[in-house]
Amino acid sequence: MGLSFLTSSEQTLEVVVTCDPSVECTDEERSQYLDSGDMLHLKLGDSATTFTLKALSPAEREQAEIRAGAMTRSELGRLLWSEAPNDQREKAKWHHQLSNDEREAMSEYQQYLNNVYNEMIRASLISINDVDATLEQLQMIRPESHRVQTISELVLHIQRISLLGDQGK
Amino acid sequence: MIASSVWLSFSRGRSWSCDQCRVTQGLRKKRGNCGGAFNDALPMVQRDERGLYVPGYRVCPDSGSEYSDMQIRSCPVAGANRLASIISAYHRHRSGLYPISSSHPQPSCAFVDAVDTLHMHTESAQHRAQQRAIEENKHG
Repeated sequence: MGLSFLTSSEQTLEVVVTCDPSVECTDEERSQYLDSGDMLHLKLGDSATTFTLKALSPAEREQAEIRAGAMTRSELGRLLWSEAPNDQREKAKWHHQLSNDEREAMSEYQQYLNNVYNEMIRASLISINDVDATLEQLQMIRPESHRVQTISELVLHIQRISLLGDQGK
Repeated sequence: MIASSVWLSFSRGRSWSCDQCRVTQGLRKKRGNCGGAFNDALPMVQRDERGLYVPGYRVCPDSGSEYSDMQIRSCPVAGANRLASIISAYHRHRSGLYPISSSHPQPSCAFVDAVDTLHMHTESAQHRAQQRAIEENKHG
């Protein structure tokens, strides 16, 4: 297991996404890659797209959260989001019991989290295939499922290299 | 991992060490070959939905309450060795040799978090050592 976070916000890391047709892996290999960032878990084709990311500094992380709406986010939504059951069926039943106000608060908080993810990518993404890149380019990825998965995986990598996490302590 | 570095040195001979793996045949493999997941055959290992772990107090006896409750899932000695550069930068800063900002001018969030964790556990270990010294003086 290597040091999975970067100590400097000037260091960069190259990653690929597993929905790329040039990347082959099993579900287990995908999970190991997302946990460690070690590309040895993957079979990479010649045309695999590489994304260069940098670790976020505390100030960049804070700015990303503020840009996403940290000052106006729904605290009720945050509370409900943290209380929601993990199991999908249980969660659906739990959600069904919520009042309209609570559902709205939860939805607002989910939107805030999506905005945080977008802002984290905006602050962290340096280039795609060594060419300067922006979040807007990621938003143009099609099909839609690949766009969503690309953003999700990049966020996981950014969190891994920028944040210590409970286990790291 | 960061917290382990503090409590491993605090517990000294009673905590996990590389010497134990050198002396006891097969122990290194059971402890995950310096950083891997623990083996089922490791003494005192426990299992939960995330895999095998050893409680912090088994790894470092007489450690702080925060560390005692931790679930250690890979060898903390190997982990502390990997983080040696951060740990030495912190101690050099603490001893006044040079500020941490000179070795890490653009820290990542994770680095700040790591130093914060290291500081909290170092203070806790010092406090524990002082308390123990007071108790020993009281009882001769």
